[in-house]
Amino acid sequence: MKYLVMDTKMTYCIIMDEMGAFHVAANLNYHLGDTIDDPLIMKKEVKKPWLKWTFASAWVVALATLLLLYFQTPVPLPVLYSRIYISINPEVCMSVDESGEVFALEGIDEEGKALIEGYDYKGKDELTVTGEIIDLAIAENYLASGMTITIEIDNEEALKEFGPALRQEANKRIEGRVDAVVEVGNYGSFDIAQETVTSPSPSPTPLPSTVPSPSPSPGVEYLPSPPPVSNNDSNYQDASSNYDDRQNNSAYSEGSNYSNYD
Amino acid sequence: MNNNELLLQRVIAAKEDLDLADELIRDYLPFIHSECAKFAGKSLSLGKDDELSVGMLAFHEAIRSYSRLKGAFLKYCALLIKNRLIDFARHEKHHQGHLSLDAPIDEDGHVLADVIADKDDKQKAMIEHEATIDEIEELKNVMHQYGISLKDISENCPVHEKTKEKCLKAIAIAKDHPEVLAELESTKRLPLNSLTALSGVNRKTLERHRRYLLALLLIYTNGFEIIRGHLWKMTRGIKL
Repeated sequence: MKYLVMDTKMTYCIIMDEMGAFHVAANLNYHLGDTIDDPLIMKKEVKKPWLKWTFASAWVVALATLLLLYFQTPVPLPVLYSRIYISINPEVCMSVDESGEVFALEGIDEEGKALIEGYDYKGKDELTVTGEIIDLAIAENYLASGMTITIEIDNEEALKEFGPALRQEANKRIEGRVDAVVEVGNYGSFDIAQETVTSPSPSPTPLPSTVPSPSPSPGVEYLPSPPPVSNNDSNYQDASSNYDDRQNNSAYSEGSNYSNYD
Repeated sequence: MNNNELLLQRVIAAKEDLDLADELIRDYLPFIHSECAKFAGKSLSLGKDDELSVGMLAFHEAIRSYSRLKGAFLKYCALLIKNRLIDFARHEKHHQGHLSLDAPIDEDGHVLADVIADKDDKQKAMIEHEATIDEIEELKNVMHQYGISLKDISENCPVHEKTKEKCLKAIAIAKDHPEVLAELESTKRLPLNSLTALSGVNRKTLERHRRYLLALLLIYTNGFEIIRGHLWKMTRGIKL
């Protein structure tokens, strides 16, 4: 094929082939009107509309696959590390994982249920939830001066781990607002807690046969926890005397044995 | 605005405009020179060494094909220049051993063509060459009257074989129907209706390559015998 040089510039030239096609080529010292045999023609980018659609389809398929994989991959369920019972007058129970994140919160009694109604605990740790529950209790007039906040943890390890911080957090929340006592201990250490739940009045009342305990949340793997304290325990028979006993037992009340964990 | 952004803007503008591309390449000639010299392993001079022309063409190609996804422009450009020079070196190697009419045969600068061509042929060729130049200049002037340039046509040239065939079919029809060429000259516009009716080619296809068709139809109007003579393959190859 021969090419006729139709135009020359320093950086390129325009040539026409014998089939009437015009090309941009390298100007290898050509002159206007030259007939050349073997030019270096600039490669033309052929637009391929199908290529665009192919890429678009590939993206859609990849996205769909990712979404499918995302929704099909089982989300790891939180593993129960410990349950933390907060008894003010309302009693609530939160389930926490090993990092301290609260993944379940339930009211043990009617007041507890009412207290946490509408409260969003998701993504919060045990300190935040405890603090906010105390705030709620103060706001709802459940907590007043002279009362006791009892925090019970059903796992010895968790008690060591979370106990000091929980007590500190609770004290921080009530400081300057109400003159209450904060007690932190093993689940079942404070009989008064159960008593308070079942009988808010100081006078002894018949107790239910079992202590209300939170039902396990579906899909949650539970670690072995100490059995709940049975109400058949004779301590329940006299709430006021039990309260005094509790002050002297092995539980961690403020300024007592609990200092071991500070 | 930093230099990179400025360069990028110039590249984007030059994508659609050969003149802007030419301007950009002139500004970046030292860069091209350096890349070509690096490849050739020697100092190169403009007008003597083909490597520089190849480098400039590669720069043109880089401007056309560049997108942000391809990284920094100058790095991309350097890569394209290198690839083009490798191709060129292979091509030259392939043609080694072939005699060139322009090859110097003595120290006085005489070339092979001077020895083998007799005086009459040389004179004839010179006259023909001058006539060709005149014709090309005349065609450029006529095209200018129609608002098109060679640069536009090179951009508007059909690429796909089927489109080429359709365009050539329309040209052949116009060539055989002088009234179509007359309509072109009188209206100074591409007679799309007549071409579509006579050739049966889709109007959109013809519209898309309007400038290219216009240029070729102008070649088939009066004059431009030399250029028409060059297009003998086209005339023969048109399938009606």
